[in-house]
Amino acid sequence: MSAWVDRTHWTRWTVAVTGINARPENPGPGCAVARCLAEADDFRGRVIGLGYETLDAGLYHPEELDGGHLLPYPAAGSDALWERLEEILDEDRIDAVIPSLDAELPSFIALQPRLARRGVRMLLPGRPELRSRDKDRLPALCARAGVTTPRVRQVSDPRFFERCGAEEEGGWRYPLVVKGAFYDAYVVHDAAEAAYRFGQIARAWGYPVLVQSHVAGEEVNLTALGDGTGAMVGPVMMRKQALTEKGKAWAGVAIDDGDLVEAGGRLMQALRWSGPLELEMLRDGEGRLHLIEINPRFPAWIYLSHGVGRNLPAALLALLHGTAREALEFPAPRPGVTFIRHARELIVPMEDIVRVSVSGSTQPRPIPFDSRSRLTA
Amino acid sequence: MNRVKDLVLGSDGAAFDTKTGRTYRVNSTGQMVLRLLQDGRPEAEIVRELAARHAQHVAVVAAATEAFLGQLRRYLP
Repeated sequence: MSAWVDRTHWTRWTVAVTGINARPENPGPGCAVARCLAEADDFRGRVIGLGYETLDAGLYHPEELDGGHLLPYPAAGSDALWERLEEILDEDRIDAVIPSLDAELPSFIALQPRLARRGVRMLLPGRPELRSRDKDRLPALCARAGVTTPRVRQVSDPRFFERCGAEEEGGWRYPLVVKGAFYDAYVVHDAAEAAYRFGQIARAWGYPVLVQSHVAGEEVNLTALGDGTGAMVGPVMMRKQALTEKGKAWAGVAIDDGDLVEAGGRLMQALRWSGPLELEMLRDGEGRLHLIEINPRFPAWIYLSHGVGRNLPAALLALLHGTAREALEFPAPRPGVTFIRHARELIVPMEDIVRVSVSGSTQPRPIPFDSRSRLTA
Repeated sequence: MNRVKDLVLGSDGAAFDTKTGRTYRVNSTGQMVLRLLQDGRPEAEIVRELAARHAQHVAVVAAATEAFLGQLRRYLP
């Protein structure tokens, strides 16, 4: 005989998290989001992973996730995603989804009403807000918010890089940053290098390819939640201390930067953002902040939010459950707290891999409430 | 020098900048200057106090203090 459990409270939900690949040079945020929930003081629910590849580590990580399912790649579109989610929902209860990859956001936004009808909650921006923070639209957004950002333009012809210094092309000066619409960015120092990176990005991610003025400086990041009112909820800030080859944080230190909070607040107000986001900014030699990107999701370093006592994935669930943002309690920032990422091997039995390959799902593992092994912060 | 308020001074000579996440090592005289600045004391007063405490001519201390403050302005933009 089992005790009655209130499954309607967010602390008992089954939460699905995407972005659960864990490649050391550029991990998805999903496993870190799951770890935040697994270690949140009140959470006694389940976290399942929604992956894209059989070798996504989050599918086999019993300390953080209770198995999961494969999804079609984001490029397959929202109809294919809906079809798969319906299959999953027929066999697994899901109370909330936390999408954690940029490319899947448009499909999840499109499916939000249908998923809501099946009892699945998500805290997401609207399509216009998502578009407003696209890399090619940042200058317009920043003009509204009163935030500095480097100029940017779309490039469809790599010969642009040979003539970009001309006045009629805008008088661009090297070094420049060549970047994809969703992923990857490279600092380039001449036309040949720029054309090479242009081709690399176009082949990997398609068009548009963007070029942005390069700002020399130190990168600082802010992650927070928006509830759609324009307020910024629970900001956590970090300076990268060590980088992977892809420029991702391998180590970082929590900071308390009033200018960054102010800039974040103005952007949040301008966007009336709903859901998690990450601001990537550069502080130049004179101390000025320049917005480089806004990522519409939690960052891969989100576990630091738990480390400084501001567990944002848990706060997101509370907001979804209807908790007023004023009722969320966040301790004062704890500058100096540091994270160091490390890679480790998961040992996975052959039958688990085969099962995911064949069926697209891990072995169902219903976890009794309150029996999850818990780690403490 | 409003930015000195962002420094957390440790007893071991470390100064952690909460705004940038950088840590500096500061000798005991530098620590004293930082503490006085954090208390809101003007530069002239800090120079007089240091000169009295270390029995140095005010002009010597003033030059050294100005050099230190110049460094601070560079490190704490």
